Amino acid sequence: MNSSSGSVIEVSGLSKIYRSGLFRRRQFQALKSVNLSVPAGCIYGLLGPNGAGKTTLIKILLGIVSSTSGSASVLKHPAGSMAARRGVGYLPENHRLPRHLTATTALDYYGSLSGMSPAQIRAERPRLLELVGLAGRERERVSGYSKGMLQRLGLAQAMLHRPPLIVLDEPTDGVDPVGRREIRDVLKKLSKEGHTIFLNSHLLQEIELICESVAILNRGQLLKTGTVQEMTRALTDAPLQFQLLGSAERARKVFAAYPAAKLREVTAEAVEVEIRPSGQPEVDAVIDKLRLEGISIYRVARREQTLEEVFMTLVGGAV
Amino acid sequence: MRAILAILKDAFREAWASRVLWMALAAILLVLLALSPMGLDSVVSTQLRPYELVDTEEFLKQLRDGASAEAGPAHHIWTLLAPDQQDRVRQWLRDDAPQGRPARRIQSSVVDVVNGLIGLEKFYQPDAWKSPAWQSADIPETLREISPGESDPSVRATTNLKRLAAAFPASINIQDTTALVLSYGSLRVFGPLRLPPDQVESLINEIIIGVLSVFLGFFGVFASLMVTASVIPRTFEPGEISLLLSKPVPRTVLYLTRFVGGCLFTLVCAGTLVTGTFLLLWLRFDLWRPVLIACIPLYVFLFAIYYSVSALAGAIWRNPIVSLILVVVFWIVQVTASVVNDFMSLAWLPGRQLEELVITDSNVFAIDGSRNYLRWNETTGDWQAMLEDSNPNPLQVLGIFQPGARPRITAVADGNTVFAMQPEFSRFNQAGPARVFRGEAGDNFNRSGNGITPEPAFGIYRTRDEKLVLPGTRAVHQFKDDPEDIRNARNFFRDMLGGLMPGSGSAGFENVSPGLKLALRPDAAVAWNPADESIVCRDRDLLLLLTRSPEGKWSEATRRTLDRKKPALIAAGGDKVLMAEADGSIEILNQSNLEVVTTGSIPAGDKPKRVEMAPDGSHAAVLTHAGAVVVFHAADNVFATLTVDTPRTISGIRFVDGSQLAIGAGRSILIVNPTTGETLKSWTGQIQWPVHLYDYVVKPLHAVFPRPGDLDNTVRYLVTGESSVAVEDEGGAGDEDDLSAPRIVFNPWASFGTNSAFLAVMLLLGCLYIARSDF
Repeated sequence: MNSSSGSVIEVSGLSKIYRSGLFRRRQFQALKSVNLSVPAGCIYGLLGPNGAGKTTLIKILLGIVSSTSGSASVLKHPAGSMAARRGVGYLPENHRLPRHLTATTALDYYGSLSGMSPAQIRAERPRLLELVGLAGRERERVSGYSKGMLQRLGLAQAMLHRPPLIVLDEPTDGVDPVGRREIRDVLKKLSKEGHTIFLNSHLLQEIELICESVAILNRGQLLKTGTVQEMTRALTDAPLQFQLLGSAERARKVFAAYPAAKLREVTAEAVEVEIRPSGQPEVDAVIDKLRLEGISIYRVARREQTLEEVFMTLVGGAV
Repeated sequence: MRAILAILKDAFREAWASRVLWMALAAILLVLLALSPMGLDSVVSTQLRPYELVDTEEFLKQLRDGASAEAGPAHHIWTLLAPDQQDRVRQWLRDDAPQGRPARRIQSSVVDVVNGLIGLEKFYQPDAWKSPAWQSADIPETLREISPGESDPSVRATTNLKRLAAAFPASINIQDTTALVLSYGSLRVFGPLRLPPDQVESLINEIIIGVLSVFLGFFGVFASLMVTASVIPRTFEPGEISLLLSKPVPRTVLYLTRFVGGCLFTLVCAGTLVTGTFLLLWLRFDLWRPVLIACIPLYVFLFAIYYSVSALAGAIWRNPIVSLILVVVFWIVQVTASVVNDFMSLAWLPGRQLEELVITDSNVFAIDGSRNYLRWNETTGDWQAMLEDSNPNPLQVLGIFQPGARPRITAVADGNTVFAMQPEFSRFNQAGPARVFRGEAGDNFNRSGNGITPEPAFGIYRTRDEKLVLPGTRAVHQFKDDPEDIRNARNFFRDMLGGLMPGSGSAGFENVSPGLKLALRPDAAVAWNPADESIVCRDRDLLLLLTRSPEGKWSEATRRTLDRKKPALIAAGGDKVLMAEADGSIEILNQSNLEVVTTGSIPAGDKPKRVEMAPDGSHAAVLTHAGAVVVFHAADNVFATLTVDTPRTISGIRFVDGSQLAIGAGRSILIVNPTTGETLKSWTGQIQWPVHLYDYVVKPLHAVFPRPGDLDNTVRYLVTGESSVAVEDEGGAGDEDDLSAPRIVFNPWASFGTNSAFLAVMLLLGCLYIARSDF
């Protein structure tokens, strides 16, 4: 397994234009000069609304779709090349496994396609089935599987040949909360084992829970990349929370100039206020006013944003 | 390699899981198991078979005439008939009795009636059969008496059958004393079969070809297409293709392996059916046919051609219904293209080919494939119709090739008078008597004179003393042409009636073989030797030489019984006889004793179509159905294939003399040197626009267009070893016994090139599409 340092995915100036129509006149630009670097050994989340270009980006990385311009490499090999694909395990969104297969034969089939020998497949199969919770049901036809079971089996086939990079497109789609948690645990375990996981999901909370780094894509443009912590803390326009000791009446007097201020009485002499100041001078001015009014400032801090808030801010701004 | 095996294995898993493969294999095995107890047992023949009733009309006439006789076989059999059967015999002999296919049923009914009587104790009663003809019949004396063994019904029937044949030698010809019975295990379920035992193998061959063509070539291929049409579209569904393409497998390998996986389904089904048939033939019918196994890849190849269309459509539109529709469209297009080509090459162009050639000092005559009599017009530089029929066959008018007995023509040396013979079908669909007529240069070669031979005739020949001789099935006849005043009167009536001919009959024919007891089948081969005016006959295993006496009578001179009963063609000249058989072997015989002098052969798989011998016996030639000419050079005692520079298939040959061979090719006659093939002289008719259409449009398109249907020809070749098949005649069946009858000649491997190229192009397009597409 390749768990060396460096990037497993490098994307530079990647663009994709889909053409359609009788004479291929209609055009749709799915990716606009995307630059991305995914470090090895992490769980990397790719965020974006529907139609943002996430799946197109993944398909270009796997050679399923060709790029219009720019370059991309996977595991130091050109994206889509045989060498690159050899090191990737992929679970597509809404994947469809042939209905005549069982979990056992499906792993045989996809393992062989990945270049594994029958002996290697036989050695890996029980562990993986156990890991994804399909042990005991491996001889049932997949046509009788639930959506969640199919997702687990899809995950198993992606992990079967122990690839350094696992690309998952909506892996928890259709999986119940317990199953989601189990999948999250599996992904964390894989990450600890040195696998790089490139995760595309709509579920922001999940990304926030397991991803170390994220990239936000909208309308084909990469809006932001970074660690989750960076994403949620670094924004200077995050709300400012005051914990004050003083009467609510006096506090209201101070914040009368801030209609958007959210004031909450905690006790008769304790108040919490949240404002969104335009800058540090305004923060200083508020503190001066509070002190003049005789209100003690117990604590003042910027509130940490959720990833969803960041996402909505970025995407909303882009809209 | 692992990936390829995995995809192939998955194709089997899929077929297995869908149960279609199970069902197909179970159905095939059930059919084979059901057929396995079948067999053919040889038994003593106790019944008359239709092919042994060689002249139904003559037999019925004798029976009817027997009604008014006092005694004799015909009279006795007539009295055994029930009144309604007697009425039917009278009806069958009426002029308005049905002809063609219905007539075959009548012949079959006559055989049934006879077989109903033949086992009766009262069928043969020595006193009732007594008549001058029966008394003089050439039979063993034991047949004249009823033996004690005849208390056994089968012995009685067998003996009565021999008596019947002896009593009606002109209309009944018993060929075999054994018959075949279809058995199922130890049960005899059907029979005796109404075909000669030596034709059983041919029948089995036709059944094999039919079963393979229908069950594998049509239903098998289309059933497989319906099962596999979804394989490629399903593979390229978004949810599945993304996963597959993420694996380290090249797209083209994925596509091609999926394609091969689809073909494996057909391989398993075809392999089971063909191997089962092979084992069945071997174990039950003692026919060792290992070449049948070659039919397995052949049918997989046939399927692959259609499936390549389905796969490409499936990859592009990802819809099995669209795939199937496009396969059907492709099938319609290729069938239409083949039909157009076949019509042009097998019906229209052969209708224009010159088949019979007569070269005289002043005129050149020919008969084309649509039975038009032609003469060369020096003024127009083209062929001109002559001896035109006032009531021609519509096919003749359209210039479409007509199968059936071939017309003949002969001309006096100066070329100013021609005599023609036009065979006609009898009402019982057997070769019937022939019309004989003449044309003269002074009358612009209009048809005049009109006689009908008393029986089917094999040719019309002119003796040195200007007599017309027509060897028939029962005797040699001489045509006494009408005196000039009668001929003039006929011409007058003909002109007055606007071309309608006055009545005609057999009165003008004289039997010039008194005492000769001939009973030739209408498809026997008869040759005229112009050197000594002898006649040589070959009928199945019989070889007969008839020589002419100074009084102008023909009698039997030499007879030889061969060890085989095969159809053959025969020619005579000088002191030699040439005999070409259906298996392609050629024998040169010494005419006086009919013994073999030397042997040769025509190209393998081909069959002889015409044989000719130079009048002096210096050369002989065999024209094959594929258009090859094999020449025998008597001086060197060798056979050699003649190469002639002609763009058309050679359709007719005739020796002008020992050093000149006339060759008919398309609308041309070439006089060539029989040794070098050098053209010495030629007459080339004008080429009509449909010929150009065929040459420059239909033929090139047909050459490059895929022809999966032609693979049936390959199967036929593998099963029978023959590369031609007899054209259906009016009766609906090809006449395999008449070698000169038209045959469709095919190159069993010709379509492989275009079919392989088409398959490669379709797969290449599929690979290109898959390689360049986003999924």
